[in-house]
Amino acid sequence: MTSAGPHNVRIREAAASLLLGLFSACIATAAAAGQPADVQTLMRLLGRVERVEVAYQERVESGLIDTAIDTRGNLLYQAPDRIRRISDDGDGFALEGDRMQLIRGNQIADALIVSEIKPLAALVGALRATFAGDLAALQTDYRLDFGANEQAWTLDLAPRAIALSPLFQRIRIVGNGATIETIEMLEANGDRRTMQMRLLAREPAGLE
Amino acid sequence: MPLHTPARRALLLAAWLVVLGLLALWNGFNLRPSTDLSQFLPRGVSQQDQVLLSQVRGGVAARTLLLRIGGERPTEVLADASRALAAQLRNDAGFAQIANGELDPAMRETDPDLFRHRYLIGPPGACVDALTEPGLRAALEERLAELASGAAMLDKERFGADPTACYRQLLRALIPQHTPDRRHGVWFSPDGDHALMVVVTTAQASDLAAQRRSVERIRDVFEHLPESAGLTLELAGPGYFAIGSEQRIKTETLVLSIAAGIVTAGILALAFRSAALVVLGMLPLLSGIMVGAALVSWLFGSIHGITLALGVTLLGVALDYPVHVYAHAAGADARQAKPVWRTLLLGMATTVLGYAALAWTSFEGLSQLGVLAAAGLITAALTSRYLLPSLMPPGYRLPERRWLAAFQARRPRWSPRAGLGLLLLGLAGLGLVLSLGGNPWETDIRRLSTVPQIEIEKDSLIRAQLGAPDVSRLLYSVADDEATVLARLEAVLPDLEGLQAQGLIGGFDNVARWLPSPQIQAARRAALPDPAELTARLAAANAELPFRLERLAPFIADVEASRDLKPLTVADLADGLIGTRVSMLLQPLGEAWLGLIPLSGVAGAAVGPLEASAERLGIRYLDLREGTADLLAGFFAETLDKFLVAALVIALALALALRSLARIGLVLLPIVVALVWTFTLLILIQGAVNLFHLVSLLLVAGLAVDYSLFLNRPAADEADRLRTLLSVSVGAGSTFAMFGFLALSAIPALQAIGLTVTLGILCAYVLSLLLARAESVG
Repeated sequence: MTSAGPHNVRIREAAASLLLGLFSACIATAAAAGQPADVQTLMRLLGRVERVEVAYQERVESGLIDTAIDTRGNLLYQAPDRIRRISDDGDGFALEGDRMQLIRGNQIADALIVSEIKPLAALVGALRATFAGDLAALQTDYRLDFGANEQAWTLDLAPRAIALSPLFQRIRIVGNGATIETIEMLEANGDRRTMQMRLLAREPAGLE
Repeated sequence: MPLHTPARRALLLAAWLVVLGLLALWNGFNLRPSTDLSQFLPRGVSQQDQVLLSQVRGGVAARTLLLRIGGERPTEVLADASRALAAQLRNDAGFAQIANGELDPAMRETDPDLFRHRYLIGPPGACVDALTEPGLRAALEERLAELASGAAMLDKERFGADPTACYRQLLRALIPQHTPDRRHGVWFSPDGDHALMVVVTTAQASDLAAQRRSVERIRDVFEHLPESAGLTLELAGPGYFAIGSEQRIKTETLVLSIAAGIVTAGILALAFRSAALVVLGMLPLLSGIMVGAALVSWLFGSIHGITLALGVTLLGVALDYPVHVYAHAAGADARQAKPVWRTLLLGMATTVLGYAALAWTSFEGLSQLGVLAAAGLITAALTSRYLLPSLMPPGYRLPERRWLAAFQARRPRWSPRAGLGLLLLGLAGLGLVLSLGGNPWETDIRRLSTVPQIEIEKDSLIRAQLGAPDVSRLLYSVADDEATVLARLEAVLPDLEGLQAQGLIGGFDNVARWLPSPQIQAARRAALPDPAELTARLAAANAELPFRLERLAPFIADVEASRDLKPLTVADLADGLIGTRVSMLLQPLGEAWLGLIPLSGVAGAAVGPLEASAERLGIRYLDLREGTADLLAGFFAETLDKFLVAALVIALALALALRSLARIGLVLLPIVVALVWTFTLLILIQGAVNLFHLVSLLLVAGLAVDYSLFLNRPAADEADRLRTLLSVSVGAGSTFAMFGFLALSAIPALQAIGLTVTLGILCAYVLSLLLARAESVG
C-alpha cells in the first residue's frame, strides 16, 4: 500500500460505510427472513417441533485413519425425548428417556443407561436438548454462543465441565429457522464429525 | 428334723444366695452364648458336609445383606439416595462389595493387572484367537464401523493398544448374567416402589458383633444422608436376621418371662398365701439353671444360646418341686412326708435319666442340652427337698380349701381300659395324620429359625425383585492346589454353557471364565505371534482399510510384552477390580483349595446332567437346602433314637422303683397317652415337627411322669391325697401359665416350645387325673 492521502482516506471511508451498510442490510434481511434474533427465540422455535425426520450424511475425519469415512442414514426425533438414528448399514442407536439401545446390523446389540456414562449423557443431552429446544438443559452442561445471518443461525456449545473437555472441544449446530442443518463435533484429539441433515418430514406442518 | 432358729434360717438362706451369686458371677464371665443356628447342627464328617457347613456359615450368601429404600417420593429421589448410600459404603472397609446397579466406578477405569494380562485371560475370540490376519481384519472392520457410527467415541483411547477390543470383551464377561430392573441407573423393584441394593460384609456371618456393627453403620449412614429425608430403609439377609433374632429373643424373652413370672407368682401366692414361699420357690429353679449352665460351659468351653433357652425350658419341671414341698411339708408330719420325698426324687431321677440320654449324641448342641437339663434338675430337686423345708416360715400351715375336697370327690375316674381306648384312639389319629400329611419332620433349615415369618417373606420378596434367587445350588471342587481346581472349573464350562443354552439353568458364576487355569494361560501365551509376524499380519489385514498402522504400535508392544508374563493367579487379583469376587469363588479350605460355581434357576431336569458332568470332571454338585435337609434328617433320626432310649430308661427306672407291673402300667398309661395325643395335635396344628417341638415333648414327658407318679402315689389319708391334688394342680397351672405366654410369641422357636408344652400339660394333667388309681393300689 502507498501512503495514505486524502483520496485514499475517502475511499476507505466509502468502503467502510459500504461495509457497514451491507452489514446492516444483512441484519435486516436476517431478521426479515425469520432467523431467530437470540438463543431464547431459537429454542422457543425448536421447542414447537413435535416430530421431525431427516436424512443425514455424516463424515468422520480421524487421526486413526487416512481417509474420511462417510455414512448416510435416517434420524427421527419425537418430542419430548426420543431419538432414533440408523445408518443405511443398520448401525446406530435408539434413545428413549434414560435408556439407549445400541443397534448393530439392525439388531439391538447393547442397552445402556445414559446417565451412568457422563460423557455420553452430556453428548446425547446436547443433541436431544437442541432438538427439544430445552435451553435450561443445554446451559447446565455448555456455554452457549449464538450468532445468525440471513441464511443461517449458528449455535456453538463449549463444555463447562473439565471432565468432558478431554473428550470434545466444541459442538457447532447450524440451522435455518426451525430446521437444524448441520451438527459438527470437534473432538479433543482433533477428530471431527460433521452431520448434514436434509428435512424429510416435520410436525406440526407449516413451521419454518 | 433339727430345730431351726430364725438365725440359722437366715444363715442358710444367706449361704445359698452367696453360692448362687458366685455361680452367676462365674457364668457371667464364662458364658459365651452363640446364636448361630447352624452351629447347633452336627460337625460335618464328610468333605461334602464341611463344604456345606462352610457355605451355610461363612459363604457369600451368609454374608449378604439385602437393602431396599422406599418412601412416597419420586423414583429419582430414591435413586439419588441409593447412589449416595452406595458411595459412602464403598469407602468403608467393613463392606467387601456394594452393588446397586450403578456401573461400578472402578469398572470405568482400566485395571492395570487385568489389562496387562488381557491376552492370557481374555475371551479367546476377541483376544488370542483374533491375532490372525482374518481375525485382525474382522476386528479392524468392526472398529471402523464403530468409528463411523460414533460408538467408538468412548473406547477410542484404547484403540491403539487394543484394536481387537480384547479388554472390552473381558469386562463384558465380568458382568453378572442376571441384573434386576434399573431406573435412573440403579436397581429397582419391578413396580418402581423400592430402590434395591446388595451389600456383602467383610465380617464372617457368625461374627454377630461385626454383623451388628455393619447393620448399624448402614442405618447410620442412611439416616445422615441429606438425600434420605422422608425415605425408609429396610434390610434383610441372614446376617440381619441373626442379629435381629438375637435382639428379638432377648427382648421378647424378657417381656414374656416377666409376664409369665408375675402370673406364676400370682398362682403360687393364691395357693399358698405367702409371699415368702413364692420368692423362695424361685430359688431351686435358679440354682438349677446356674449349676447346669456352669457345668456346660466348664465341660464344653462355651454354651450355645439355643442350649440355654431350651435348657431353661426343660427345667420347667423344677417349678413343680417347691410346690410339692410346700404342700406336703406344711401339712404333714415327717412320717407322712417321707413317701412324698421318695416320689419327688423318683420323678426327678427318671426325668434326669431321660434327659441324660440326650447327652450321648454327636450333636454338640444336644449333648450340652442333656447335661444342662440333667444337672439343673438334680440341683433343683435336691435344693427343694433339703433346703426349702428348713427355710419355710416356722409354723406355716397350708390354708384350708373346701373346693379342693369337692373337686377330689367329684373328679371322674376312668378305668385303665378307657385309658387304653384313649391310647388306641390317639394312635389311630396319629396314623391318620401321618398317612395324610406325610413326613412330619421339618427338614427345611430356614424354618428351624428364630426369624418371624414376616421377615422371611420380606427376604424372599426382595430376592425375587432382585431376580437373584437364593443361591442354594452349586458345583464345587476341592484339590490340593489352585491350578487343579481352576482346571476342573474350566473343564465344566462348556457343559454349563450348554445347559444354559437349553434353558435348563438360568445362570452360573464360574471364575474360570475370567481366570483360566495356568496351563491354559501358558498355552495362550505360547500362541502369541512375535512382533515381526504380528506387524505383517496387521499390514495384510489393513491392506484395504484406511487405518494408520503407526497408531497401532502400542498394540504390537503389548502383545510382545505378554509373551513374557507369568500366568495370573488369585493372589495377583486380590486388590484389583475383581479381587472380592474371585476370592469368593476360589478360596482356601483348610490346607486345600475350594472352587465354587453358584448356579441360579436350576430346573429339575438339570440336576441329572449336572451330576453327570460333575462326576466326569472330578467336581461335585451340591444342593445346600437338600444337604441341610439331609443333615437335619440325620439329626431327627439320631434324636428319635435317643428319645426311644430315654423312654426305655424312664420305664426301666420306674419299674425298678415301683416293683409292681400293675402300678407301672398305671403310671405309664397317662404318660404315653398324653405324649401320643400331644404329638398328634402338634402335627395337626403346626404341619410339621421341628427340633423345638421335640425337645419340648421331652419336657412334657418329664412333667407327665411327675403328675402321674404323684397322683398314683398311695396316700396316707384323705388330707394327704388332697395335698397331692393341690400340689399337682398348682404345679400344672403355673407351668401352663408360664408356657402359655411363650405360645403367644412371634418368634417361631418360642412359639413352638410354648404351644407344645401347654398342649402337653393339658393332656398330661387331665389324663393323669382321669386315670390315676391312688386309692385302689396301696
